[in-house]
Amino acid sequence: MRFLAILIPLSMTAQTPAHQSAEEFEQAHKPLVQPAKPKSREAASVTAGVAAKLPARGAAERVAHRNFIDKHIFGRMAANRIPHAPLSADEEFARRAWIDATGRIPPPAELAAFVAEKSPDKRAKLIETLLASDAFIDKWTYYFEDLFRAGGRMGPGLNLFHFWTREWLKLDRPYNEVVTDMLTGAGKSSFTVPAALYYQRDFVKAKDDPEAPDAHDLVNQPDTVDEFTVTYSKVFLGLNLACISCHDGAGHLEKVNTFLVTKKREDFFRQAAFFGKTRQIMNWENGYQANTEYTVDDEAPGYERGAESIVRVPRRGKGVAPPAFLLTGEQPKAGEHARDALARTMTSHVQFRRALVNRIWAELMGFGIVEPVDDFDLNRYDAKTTPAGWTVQPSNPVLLDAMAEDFRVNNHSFRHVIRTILNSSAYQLSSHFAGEWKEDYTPYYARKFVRMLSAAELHDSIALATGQPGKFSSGAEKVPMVQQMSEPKKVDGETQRFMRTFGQSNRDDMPKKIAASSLQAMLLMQSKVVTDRVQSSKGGLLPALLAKNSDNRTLVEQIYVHTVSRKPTAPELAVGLEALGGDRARGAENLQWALLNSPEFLFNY
Amino acid sequence: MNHRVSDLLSTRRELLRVGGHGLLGAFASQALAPVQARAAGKSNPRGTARFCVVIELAGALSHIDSFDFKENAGTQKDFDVRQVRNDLYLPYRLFPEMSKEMDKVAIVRSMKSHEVVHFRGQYYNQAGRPLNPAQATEIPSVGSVISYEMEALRREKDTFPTYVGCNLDTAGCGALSTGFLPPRFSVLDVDMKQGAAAGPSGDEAMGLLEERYRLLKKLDDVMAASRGGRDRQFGAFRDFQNSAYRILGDPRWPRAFQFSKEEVARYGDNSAGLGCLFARNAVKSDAGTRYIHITHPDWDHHRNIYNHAVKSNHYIRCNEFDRAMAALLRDLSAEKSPRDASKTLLDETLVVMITEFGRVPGALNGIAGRHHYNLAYVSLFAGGGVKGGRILGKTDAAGEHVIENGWKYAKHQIKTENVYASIYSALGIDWKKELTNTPSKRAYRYVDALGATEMLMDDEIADLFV
Repeated sequence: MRFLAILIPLSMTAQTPAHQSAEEFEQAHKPLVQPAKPKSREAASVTAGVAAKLPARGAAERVAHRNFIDKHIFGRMAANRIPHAPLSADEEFARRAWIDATGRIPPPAELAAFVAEKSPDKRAKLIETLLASDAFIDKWTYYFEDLFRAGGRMGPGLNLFHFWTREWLKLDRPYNEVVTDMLTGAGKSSFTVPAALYYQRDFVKAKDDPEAPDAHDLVNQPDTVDEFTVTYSKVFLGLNLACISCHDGAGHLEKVNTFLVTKKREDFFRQAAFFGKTRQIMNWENGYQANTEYTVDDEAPGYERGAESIVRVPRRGKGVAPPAFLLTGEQPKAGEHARDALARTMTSHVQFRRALVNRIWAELMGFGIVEPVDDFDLNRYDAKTTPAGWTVQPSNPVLLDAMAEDFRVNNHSFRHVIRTILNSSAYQLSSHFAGEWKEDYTPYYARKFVRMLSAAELHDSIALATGQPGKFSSGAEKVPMVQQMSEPKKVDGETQRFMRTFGQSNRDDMPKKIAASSLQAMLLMQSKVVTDRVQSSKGGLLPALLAKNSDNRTLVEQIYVHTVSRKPTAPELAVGLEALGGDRARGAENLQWALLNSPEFLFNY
Repeated sequence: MNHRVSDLLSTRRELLRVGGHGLLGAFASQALAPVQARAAGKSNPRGTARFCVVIELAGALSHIDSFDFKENAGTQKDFDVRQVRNDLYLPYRLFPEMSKEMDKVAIVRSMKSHEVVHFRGQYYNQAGRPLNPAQATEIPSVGSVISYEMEALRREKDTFPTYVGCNLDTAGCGALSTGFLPPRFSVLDVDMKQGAAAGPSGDEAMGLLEERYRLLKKLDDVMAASRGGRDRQFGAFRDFQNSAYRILGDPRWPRAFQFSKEEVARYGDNSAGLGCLFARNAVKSDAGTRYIHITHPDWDHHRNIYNHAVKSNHYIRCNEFDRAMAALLRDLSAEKSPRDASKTLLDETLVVMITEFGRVPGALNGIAGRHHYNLAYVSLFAGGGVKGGRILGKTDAAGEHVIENGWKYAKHQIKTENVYASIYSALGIDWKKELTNTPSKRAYRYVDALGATEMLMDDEIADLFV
């Protein structure tokens, strides 16, 4: 009985409490003003700083339009007389493409070969090579595992999910089929059905049953379904249904989302109801609970509108909610399984395609055409439906739709999206902008925006630059790169702390980008992740270079090429030579340390 | 931590993970815009404390077998309950050290929360306001606000970050970000077991760092040769490097993390003990840190709360906290302040114990534990102007309901907002202030009277101090 006493205070009504005056109510519901676009501004401001350090390019040349992306990007710029940066130089482009496609800095020999090559289509060829590499699979498996939060909650099933993800990326399976698998997976054991793991890992544990003290495997199914529905809507549809999972949009979202303000909690119930019959039941074996191993089946009675909630405002309503797709109202066909209907309606909807291409665009171009990427306002997609006083949400809705359509026509190939973006001149613009940059230019993508390397990219690039790969466990294997691990948290304490400081996702929560901080700077200077690796006594690149080169100039150049993927300029060379004077080994270590601490290493520009 | 009542709210928590480990100013571009403040009312902060140390018992401390002791069906025979004072009974077995220090401590027994979920309760304890998912990305931690307020007071020789966390990321919500405030007010969250992002120890290591840093600066200059005045934003990372170097280069920093065997034995080799030890050192060195938030996790005893055989039980956690806080109070009170010989360091340091909520009083549950209970629970205050040896508030015989609130507002229980108003007040910060240029344009009030479920008194707990 005491449990109820605890839960009652949780209720938060939307009505004015009796003791609250009308004025206080007004205060509490003061209108929100449309927030600024912080992410794009942030990308732009960081870029301006980093790019300023790059060697100046000449006046902006006219760039070739390589595909439909360029038509839209440069077309708009021309129409609005927006100046843009010139095309990137070969070294700039190559490093960027290597990092974006494979999560690692380029191997010096391959970089040199690329720069030396003369054929006019060498960039396209490089892109193909990168996309065909194993490192491409490593990096994008890591990306999707962050996005799908493939973490410890999958238990030993995690390794299975890891290989399943690698496999569909290698085969370039149509993305809509992959998502269909993830939404419809079922099986006696989540350890044997990889697709079932996506739902299995999202269980919300029920409160303990005083009658069954040992049964700590109980799942609160309605809460689980709600949580999962909010999650997959963000991931696959770019829609944030968190608010309407607790209350109607009306009276809350007037200033937040003009589409969701028209939706009710009932609409959310009906969306959630596609999973209303789906259960996770922890398996037992030999009298013990097989912790994290779950059966996923569809034998529950359905989504009860009045079911008790632990984590939400109490559900009110009666009866079982019939499933209906939030965007179209479509219901399962006669005889169609609810989850099959969900997969069908969702993956065939244009918003599914927009959401995916927008996410990938954000990864590669600095920020999405719609930001935040999981918070589309569908009433503000084009000017016709956008209410007065609001702006159209996407910075270029025509481009986004063109990319979404291109995605569909190309059989939902993820690889095709990457290829198309990388090949565009828009992607290949320099991040160095001659002339005065204005904030207004930002949504036009008038320059390439920079970003800091992700935690895993940074770690792996440090390992490569110093020639000292790791030795990490991934399932039963040993792998040299963090980006190859099935569970990246399973690194030593020092590496874990380093990665977390640079924003490594814990895969319990959705992935986030983070900004710079002095703790990051401290770790770059002092963490063993860096300092051990530059020690020439520990092996790797530096002892090899020191042993090989008797010429200090070559030594400096080699350190530069291996670390920041380019040769030093004359003044940089002078400083490097000075550093080598005296204790050569120490000087070389210091030089590489300094380069690893420089923005030219830390940022992808 | 074994989450019984689920607080694995991946969808809400992810909003807070924007902060990651206290490193994100979600709106980094705000660094350009000056923070706009507006005094909305007039509070009279008392300014009795130079430092503040918050010890958060994450997982929820059971109030009726700690600082609001009640004899009930669950009371264990080995608690060794003793009358510490006329008005105060404590289980001596759980708090042998604190039993001797209660003359320094004021207990509040009339706390109330609307939360029952750890993650939300811990967010509340870091942000000083209930979680609102629509706003969470822009809400700073209280420590970041304090860091912002104290920026003007930093001296040239101050190298330590104003706001340091000890194992903050063991809290369910992690270390909260600076929200709409610039990133430089971020917490520096340290894993006390691993030690600081330890600076170089010894002259040789220090010499090497200096050598390298000089080279870095030289390279920075030549690489910036083609800058042409567009570098202003990029300076942000260099600024972090500069302040990082200052911290690393300050011998006081690694010393703050160097503990003798005797000290560790006295404080305890756990996150509470080591956190308090660092806090003592930070206060002593007065090198820039003014606000420390220590997270001591693993209090969530839904099962086997008093079972000596299990790895985490009430005895272990209480003993850890007991030793840590007692040692901190003792060491701080034993040392005179270099600023005012008539005061001790404890007089200048407000020490606060907070927790998310209490635990169900009475008999144990079906799995020999106690579940969450938010209608009454406790917090502790010492130092920094607090008058010790007192108890504010009173619960009924079972410890289920508060019958006396024990402060100026007789009809209102005490909330986390009031705890933070008291902390702001002790630190000399006007808690009725508002910051207005937030991304949502909604004013950020330091202490917001609009509580989650009801209005509350946006006032300090003045009765602690008089």
